[in-house]
This record gives sequence, structure tokens and C-alpha cells, in this order.
Amino acid sequence: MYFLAPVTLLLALIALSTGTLRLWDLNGPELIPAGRYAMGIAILTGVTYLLFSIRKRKFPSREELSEPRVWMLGLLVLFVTDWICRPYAFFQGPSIRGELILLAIVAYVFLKRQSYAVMPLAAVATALFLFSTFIWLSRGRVLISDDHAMFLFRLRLLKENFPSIPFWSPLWNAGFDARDFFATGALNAFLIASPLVYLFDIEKVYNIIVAIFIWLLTPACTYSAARMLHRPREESAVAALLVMCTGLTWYRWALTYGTMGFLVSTALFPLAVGLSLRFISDEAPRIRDLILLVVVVTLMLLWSLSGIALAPLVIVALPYASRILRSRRHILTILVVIAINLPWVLMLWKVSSVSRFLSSDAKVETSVQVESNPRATSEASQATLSQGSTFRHKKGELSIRKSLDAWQQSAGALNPLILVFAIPALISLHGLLRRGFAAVTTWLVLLGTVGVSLKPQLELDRMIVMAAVIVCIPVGQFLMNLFRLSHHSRSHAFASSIAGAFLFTGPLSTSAILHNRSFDHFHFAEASVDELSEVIKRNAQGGRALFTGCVMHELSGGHLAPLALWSETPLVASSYAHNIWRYEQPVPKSYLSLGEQGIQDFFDDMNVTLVLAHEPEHRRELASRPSRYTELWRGGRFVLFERLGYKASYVLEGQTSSLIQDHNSVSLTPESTRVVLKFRYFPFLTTDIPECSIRPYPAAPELDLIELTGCPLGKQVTIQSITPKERLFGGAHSP
Amino acid sequence: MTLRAAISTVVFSFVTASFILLGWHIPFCELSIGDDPRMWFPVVNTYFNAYHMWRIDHVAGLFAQSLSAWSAHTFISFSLVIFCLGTYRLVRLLSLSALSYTISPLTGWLVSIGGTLTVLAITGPDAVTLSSLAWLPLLSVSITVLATVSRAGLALGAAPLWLLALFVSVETSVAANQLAPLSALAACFLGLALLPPNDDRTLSRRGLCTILVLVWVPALYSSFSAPPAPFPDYPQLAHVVPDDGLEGIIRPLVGLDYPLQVVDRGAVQRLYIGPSIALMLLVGCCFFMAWGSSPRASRHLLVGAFILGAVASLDTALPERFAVIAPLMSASRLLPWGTSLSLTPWALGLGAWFLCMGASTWMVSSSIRIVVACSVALGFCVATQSAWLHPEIWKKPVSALLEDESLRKVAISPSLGTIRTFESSIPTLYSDLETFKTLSQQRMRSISSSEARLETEPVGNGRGLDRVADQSGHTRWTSNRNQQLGDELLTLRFLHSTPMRGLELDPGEYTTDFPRGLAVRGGPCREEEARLLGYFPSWQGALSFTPNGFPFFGSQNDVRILFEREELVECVFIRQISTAPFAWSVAEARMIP
Repeated sequence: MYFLAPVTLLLALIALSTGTLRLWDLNGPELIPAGRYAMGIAILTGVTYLLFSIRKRKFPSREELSEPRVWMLGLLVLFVTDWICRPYAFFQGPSIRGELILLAIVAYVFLKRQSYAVMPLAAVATALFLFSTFIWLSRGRVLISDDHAMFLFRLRLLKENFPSIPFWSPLWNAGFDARDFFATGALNAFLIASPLVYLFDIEKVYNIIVAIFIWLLTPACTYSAARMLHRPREESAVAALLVMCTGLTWYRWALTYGTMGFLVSTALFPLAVGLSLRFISDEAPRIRDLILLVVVVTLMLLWSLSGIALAPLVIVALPYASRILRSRRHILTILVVIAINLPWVLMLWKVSSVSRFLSSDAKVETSVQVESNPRATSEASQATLSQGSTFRHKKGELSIRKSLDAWQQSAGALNPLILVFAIPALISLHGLLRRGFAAVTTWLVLLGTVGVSLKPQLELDRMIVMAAVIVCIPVGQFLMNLFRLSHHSRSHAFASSIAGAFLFTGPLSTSAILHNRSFDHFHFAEASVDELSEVIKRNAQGGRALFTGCVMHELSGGHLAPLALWSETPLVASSYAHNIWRYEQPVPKSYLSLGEQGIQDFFDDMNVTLVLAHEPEHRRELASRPSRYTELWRGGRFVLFERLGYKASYVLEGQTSSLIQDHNSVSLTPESTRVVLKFRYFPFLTTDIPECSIRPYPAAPELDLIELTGCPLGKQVTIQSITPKERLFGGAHSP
Repeated sequence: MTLRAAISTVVFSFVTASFILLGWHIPFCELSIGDDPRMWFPVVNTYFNAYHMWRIDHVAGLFAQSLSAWSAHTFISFSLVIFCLGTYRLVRLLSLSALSYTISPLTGWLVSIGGTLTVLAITGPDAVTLSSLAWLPLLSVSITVLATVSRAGLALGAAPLWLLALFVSVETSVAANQLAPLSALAACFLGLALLPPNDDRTLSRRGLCTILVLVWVPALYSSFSAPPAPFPDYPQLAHVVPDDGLEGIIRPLVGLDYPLQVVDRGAVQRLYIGPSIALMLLVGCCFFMAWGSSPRASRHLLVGAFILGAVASLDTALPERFAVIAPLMSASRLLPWGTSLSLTPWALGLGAWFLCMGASTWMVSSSIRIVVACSVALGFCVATQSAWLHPEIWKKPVSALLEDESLRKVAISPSLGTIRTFESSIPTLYSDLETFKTLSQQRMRSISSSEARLETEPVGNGRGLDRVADQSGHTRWTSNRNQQLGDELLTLRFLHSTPMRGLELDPGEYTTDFPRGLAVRGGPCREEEARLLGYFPSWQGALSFTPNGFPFFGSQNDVRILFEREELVECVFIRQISTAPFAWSVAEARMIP
């Protein structure tokens, strides 16, 4: 009867994770009409078991609760039902069943020979295979999908400006506050990839950097964490293999959404947890481990949301608090972590108005530029966009239904091994490890479900991905224990073969994701991107190029940001990144209210010489005015028009003899005492000449341009941001 | 040289020479546009439409030139010679190590020739399959020898053996191309299974790893380096072979693939179901007779043959929704370009060879038995080779396409599957593609109620028949049974004899209500006297063409039938001959006069 205990847990898991289950495929007969039926059976078996236990006065041991043969039935249930055929499943059924059967036979052969030494080899081979597949598929084209374009842009800016961040850059929209390095976690990716970033052109090595993070850093950190927690080499290798195949969601965030900060933090997460648990448990931790802890935790925290992922470890450490607080090494380590991270956290808090972002029902441009979630555009219809829906940035409230939906969505995209074996794997751990891993995993799952309904703007559903990554270590251990039992009995051998099949199919399923054969697609830059850059560069003639309408992922599925670097031309768009959540025009309302003349005025104020249109109505509109615009080029969805009858100039009023702009400053030589420049004013801007004063010139209610007065005539003036230190301790705020 | 060896060499030379000199009157399985060993060229299988790039290995290319004066199929001849030599070496090796008795050179040659002919008989002259198997026996021998040497601790002193094995491994991979991993896998299993048991020494991990690297690196490289074949610009929803009935396209997990299915799975199943089941049964018989008395090596070979027969049977005998998860189709999704090939002939060929080898080495102690065994195996293979029993393969009008330079690109393309499917209705399609392209694009005119009367059977389905000729796509006649039973008949009775070149039965907006199978007869108003104008047991869609002239099946609700030539008809009998859980609807009947 003791098998009823794990059966109860398994049924509850299935009930919560799968909802309606059909036999074999999506059109098959219903096996479980709704999750509540499975939950009902789970409650029934649970009560039966409870009565039995009370009568016998014996409760199940951890071994009985984590009986692998019972939990393996969960894999079989997923195998024979429509779960494996659902659109966002990691294993793309129904045909994947064939590979699973085939690899179950292979696993049986290997396990029969007890060839566990193959595990490290399999992990290395998987990493090499996936790495090379990704690089081969890119064929020299840079990964540009969604935020990858933004990160590429940020890496370029960081390469030239680090450590002087944040700063002002005239590359986009007549000047913008380049401050999102903190909120997006770009710094951790930059610091780890800095050797490649500084040695090579970023565009040439960007794919390699991404591949290194996904298939080198992530498994290496997981392997090291497992080894650090005294797990054998084979178990650690299984964990490393598994972490490369956690599910579709991991690759969605890593490749499709391109959230590099999150990616690097998640890669480091197992190592941070492993080191933290060692930090808690060791009375006299080694200096090497402490240094590593400081480095890893700092790098991880650079993606600020990861801080809350580590929060449960504080509670886990409470019973050890007195010992930790008595240890000089422990205290010093904590202080060093605080000392390193406090300055940038304060900077983030100040320049990005974090509290406003967290508490507000963000309606317009958000202060903190979080990494994008393309579902905002892919799932919300274009109609909704044009009506100005704020989608996920609406204020949330606690909802069990929404939380359950969030869980089912995430669970459906997970590797079944992780979904089914996470609970028994956590149960089978001992002592601090069990408390630590269980607390972190449970906390992350709660954040990824309940947290999503409470704070949708934080996109906490990705915490499930972190949970899946961290749970790979206990699942790796659980799997190896199961494999070692395979020669005990036929049922053990069968269970091991099934688990082995799911383990070895993981890399192949991941390969299918890399070939864009899943429901999530990622994009490399198409040839039209190069053409567009070239044609803008050739025709800008000292002015800016403006993108009409709302541009989001039209540039080969990515944001526009790096186009300003590739075309070597300052650009204007409603947004070059994913920081707007409704349809927005680049032309402010006050200009639009003046009609055609207002639009022309705005173009003049922005020094626009080229206009790009991708929305059909804008293309038609521009084409219908041959006296003002002439078509120069078309490619992809874009049509490029040249403005006629406008002479490019960055000076609105006054005179200058020369004007040069780079990534973080503008240099000019005034020829009049007062000069108004067609650059956006920010309160943290300054000039390198003290007597030259800089102030806003209100060109329109939404647009303050830069006005320089008192500058010595004929002497070069450089406009740039004040230093980060001045910004942190001074009074200049972001607008 | 002993007398026996001399005789055996003469016998072998004679058999080989006769094969090469005579050539065989079996049609080639593949069409290709190249034979340069340095180049990849596209190949299409005329039986089941496998379409992929292929490359001939350099050694074959070298020898093929010298063989070309005597044989039309030089590469196949070369593959068979190499295969036969390898089999002989393997038999000799078995004789020395795994069997308790010696096999004489003469017997060895007989066994190897028997095995080679068996493989040829069961696969037909399939250059892709034969060249992927050609070097496999030699590679197995190399693996066994290397493993033996490594186990004896003499690996370092056997550098020439390693070099020779590397050469064989590279040749295996280059000859097998996309199928190289399968050949490597089979060679590894065979080579290690035939390793004589030795309780004193086991093969070290380092030795095993070195052998595996030597075999697998060239195989994986060769497989992954295969380029994509030129692919016509088919529109979305097009298909070139009959639909397999599964939702969507089954896509591989590894490597690139085509945007639509190219292998005609129905043809594969029809072609190989007989040999697959027969192979399995024959191996079963051998087991029944030999188990216990046969040597270990023979048993291993027979087990291998049984497994291969079983997987081939699963692939061919199961309904497609289950065949898709059977081992062969699953394995094909793990190979680069695996889904553009069929692994069934490969598995069958290897299985037949295993059977022949296993049975021969078991029965070799009696020279009469071996002759009987070889004859039985060969006879069985020939008798069950469905390809030989299918009359359509003897027709090779497709060769006409090859003669015309402009049509050659169509012949060696996935569109060959479409052409072959329409072959029974339009025999002249091969030679007159351009005409049919024009016809397929021609706008059809509605048949008005004033020029033809409509009738239908079974009685009771006649309501709304006038809607077929009301020139509106929004109204329809329907069989009114909510399903198609295969007995529906729609008759068009023209008031006068009318010339007709094509017919359209447009289901209009009722897109799921297209006929699942059609037989169209036309001519005099007695159905038995009318000529068969079109016969489609399974309606796949209208014959359509890409702008570059590649035929394909349009969507299935596009029910346009082109006739071979203009017919003067008084009546047209349209029979729906298949079944479906959807009604048959015709919103508008149109024709090409």
C-alpha cells in the first residue's frame, strides 16, 4: 500500500500540470476530462493511504515516497497521452515517440552494461553538437531575434563606454539616456564576454558569445555546482546534460527573446546556489570558494531580478545564522558582496525610477527598460496594439486561475524528466541540500505562477525556467540512482530505460528547436538588413533617417537598435527597443495635431532626410506625395523615401562651423552666442567648457532641444553626459 | 596457390565477369544527372521518389571508368565486387576465429557470391543502397581485426592495420554519404559481435574509443556534409507524392530538410512489405531449425537478420500513424536528410545478407546444403521482390524525359512522384508536360443546364442537382449522406456530342467535401462502353505546375481532371470510389472544351 503515497503525489502533479488529457493525440478520446478529476482521484488515493497509514501507524520513508518505478509511470502517462503532442511541448509529438522507443532500447543496452562512464562523454558531446549546430545554422548571419538586437547594441556601447555608464547617446531619437545596462543585466553578459568583445568585432562573435553562454557556461556551472556539492562525476554530467535540455521555454528566452541578462544569471544560478549552500554549511570555507561566491553572486545579481531568486537561501541560512555571524570569513564575504553591488543598485534605483515601475500601472514609456516579451505583440492582436492596450503591464491581482494557467503553460514546455522527477528528486535529497533546493525551487515556482498574476510587468514566468535549471542537479542525482538500480530487477531496468530514453532524446529535441522546428522561432539577420544599413548610410546626407509608425520586430524579427551603428547614421523611431507597450508614433501629438505641416515641422526639427515606412498605409501615404518624397529603395517590409526640398542641418537656430557626433557626445564649434541644436535635452547633459551653459529649448510640449548660450565663438564645445559619480550623488534625474 | 583456391578464384572471376559483361535487365532505381566522383548531384528514386544529393566515392569513380566499357551499371558493379570481396574476407575471418570448422576458399567464394546476389535480388539495382552497403563487410572485418589486435595488447605495433582500417572507414562513409552513420553502426555491431569470446582479455576502453572514433568521425562528417538538393519553388499546401494521411509534415530532429514530403510512403510499403515479412519468416524458420546446433557467430547473424526483418516489417506493414514511430522512420529522423531517403531497402538488404551469411556459415559443413541454402535464399528473395512483380516498374517512359534536356530537370526532381502518380490516367504526361501545364492554367467554363442534364445515383441524392450548373459557387449539390461510401455516381448527359479536354467538380466553399476517389468515364451514354478518362483511387489534388514547370498536386479541394486528349462525349460518368466521413459536394461543374 505504500506505493499509494507517491501515486498520490504523481496524480496531484498530473492534475495540476496537464488539465484535460486525451489518449495518444489531440483528437484522441478523453482520458481525464479535466484536472479536477485527476485531483479527485489523487485525494481519494491520498485519503485511502492516510487511513492505511494511521491504522498501521507507519508513514512512508523518503525512499518509498521517491520510488522511481512509480514516478516513471508519470513519464509513461505523458508518453501515451496528447501531452506530448501539444504545440509548445519540448518533445514534439506524435513522431517523437519513435525516437523515445528507439533510444529506450539504446539506453537499455548501455545500462545493462553499466556503462555510466558514457555520461560525461554524452554531456560533452551534447554541448559540442548543439553548439556546432547553432553556429552552422547561423551561416555567418548574426542572431538578431527580438532583444538580441538590443543586446548586440548594448555590447557595442559598453565596449566603447564602460565603465562610464550611464551616459547620453545621440544615436537614437536625437539623443537618449543609455542607462538600461543595469536593469536588463547586460553588464553580466558584457563582463563575462569581455575578452571576445574587446578582441573582435561584436557582430562577428555575437553568435559565439550566445552559444558559449547556453552550451558552455550553463552546463559548466551546473556541473561545477554538482561537483561542489560532492556529487559524483556521472551525476554531475547527467545534470549538465539535462540543463541543456530543460525545455522549450529556456530556449524561448535564450534564443527567441534574447534576454541575455536573464540567460547569464540563470546559467550562473546553480553555481551560486551550490556556493551559497557550501557557504552556509562550511564552518571554515575555503578562500577560493568565497572569492568564487562573490564573483558569481555579483555577476548573477547584475540582472537585478535574480536577487529575489536567491532570497529563500537567507531563510535556509537562519538556523546557521549565529555560526555565520561569528565567522570572520563569512562576515567579510557578505560585506564584500554588499560593497560591490550597492553602488550600481543605488544607481539603478536612482536613474531608472524602479519604485515607480514596480508600483505603477505603466501606461506609457516605462522608466525601467525591462527585457522584452514578444508575446506582448505576438499574442495581442495588431488591433489591440493600435487601441493602446498595455497588455502585461496592467496592474495584476492574485488569481488562482491565472496562476494555474501560468503553471500549466510553463509545465507543458518543460522536459518531462524535470517535470515528473523534480518532486522525488527533491524528496530523496538529504539535510541542508534538500532544504536549500526545495526552498529555492518552491519559491521560484510560486514566483512563476502566483507572482505572474500579482506583478505581470516583472515577467516572473521565467522563474519557472530558473526552477527547471536549478532542479537539474537533484534530478541528475535521482536519475543516476535509478540507472544504478537497473540491474536489480526487470522493472527497474524498464524504468531506467524509459528515463534514459527521455534523457537522450533531450539533445535531439533541442536540435529540432535550433532548426526552428518548434513553435518558437528565432531569427538571424537577413540580407535585407545589410542592404538597409548600406542604403541609409549612402543616402542620409548629414541628416537622420526616421521610421514611421510603430516598429517593433520588423528588422528580421529584432529591434532596430543596432541599425544606427551599422548604418553609421543617427535614427529616429517610436522605439528602437522594446520599451513601449502600445502603438506609438514617432511624431509627438502636438505635431500631429497640426496635420501635414506639423509632421514636416517635426521632420525638420529632427533633421530627417530619409523616411522609412513599413505599414502599408504609411507607404501609400508617402508614395502619394511625389513632391515631398521620392522612393529610393525597398526590401523586406520597408520602403525608403528621401525627403525632397529639405537641406540637412543639426542647427535649428544660430550658427556652427562644424558638428561631429559619436556614440556618446556631440562636438561643435559655435559661430554665434546662442545655438539651438536638433538634439534632445536631458538634465544630466553638460559641456566641456564651463562658461558655455546648456539648457532646454522647448520646441514642442513633448520635445526639449538643446540650447547653448555663452559659448566662446570659434572654440570647439563637446556636449556629453555628466560622470556616473556626479549622476549618482548629484541632483540630475532622468526625465 | 592451392588447387582449391585457384578453382575458387576462377569461379568467382567468372561469375563477376558474367555479371559485368551481361549487365542485367533490371531497371535502374535512380535517375541522376551526374556521375562525377568529385561532385554532389541530385538523385531521385523512380520507385518511391526519394530525392537527395549523392556523390560517388573516388575509388568507385576510378574503377568505374575502366569498367564502363563492359557494363552499363559500372558503379553498381563496383559496389557488388567490393561487397563480395568484403563478404569473402568476413567468411574467412569467421572461419578462422568464430567457427569451429574451416571454410575452404571455394566455399567462401560461393557463400560471398550467394550473399551478394541475395542482396542484389532483394534491393534491386538500387545504387544508393548498394553503395552504402558495399564497404560494410570490409569495415566489419577491420573492426574485428582491430579489436582483436587491441585486446591482445598489440595495437601500437599494428600501424598498417589502423591505416588500412581508416581507408576502409573513409571509403564506407564516402560511398554511403547520408547513410554513413547507419553503415558505421551496422559495422560496429557486426564487428564487435563477431569478436571471438576471450575470458582472459577484454577490449580496453581506450582501444574501443579509438576504433569508434575511427569509424564514426568519417561517417558523421560524410553524413552532415551532404548539401541540399535543388528544390523547386512549390507553393504552400503543394505536395508531390500522395498524402500519407498524417497531420502536417514529419520533420527530422537533426539536419536540414525539405519543406514538403518527398518520399512516397505508400510506394515504399507496397514495394517492400512482401520481402520484409518473408525475411522475418525465413529467419524464424532458420531459428527453429538451427537454434542449439548453430555456432554463436551464425546465431548472431541470424538474430541481426531477424531484427532487421522485423523493423522493415514494422515500417511497411503498420498503418502510417504507427509506422511513423517504428524504428526505421524514427532512425531516419535522426540522420541528416534521412527523411528524404527510405531506409527500408537498406535494412532489407542488410537483413538478407545477414540471413545468407548466418544460414551459410551454419550449414557450410555440407557442400550440398550450402548450395541448397543459397538457392533457397536467392529464390526467396527473387520471388518476394515486389518490385519485380509490379508491372509498372518495367515501363520506363521516364527515360524519355531524360533525353530532353529541358525536361531533365523535371525528371530529376521531387515532381517525378507526381508524374508517376498521374501516369495511369495520363500516360503521355511524360512526353507532353508543356501541354498539360498550359491546360492546367486554362480557365474552365461552367457547364450550363441547357447543354447537359445531370443525374445521380443512388436514388435520393438528386435534390439540388441543378445547383451544379447554376454558375454559383455558393450553392451546391451534395450526396446528402454526410459521408462518402464509394458508390456515388454523378452523370452528365449532354444534349449533343461535346468535345472535352478536362473537367472540374468544384466543391466551392465546402472545402472538405471533395471526392476522396474518382473514376471518370466518358463517351457514349452506356457506362460500360464509355472510355476511362481518369482514375484516381485516392484523390490527391489537381495536376498543377510551378512557374518553372515542375508538376505537383494542388490542394485536395481543387478537383480538376485533365484528360489525355480531347474526347467527344455524350455522357460523362463520374464515380466517387472512396470512403470518407465527409459528404461529397459539387458547387459548380466546369469543363475545358
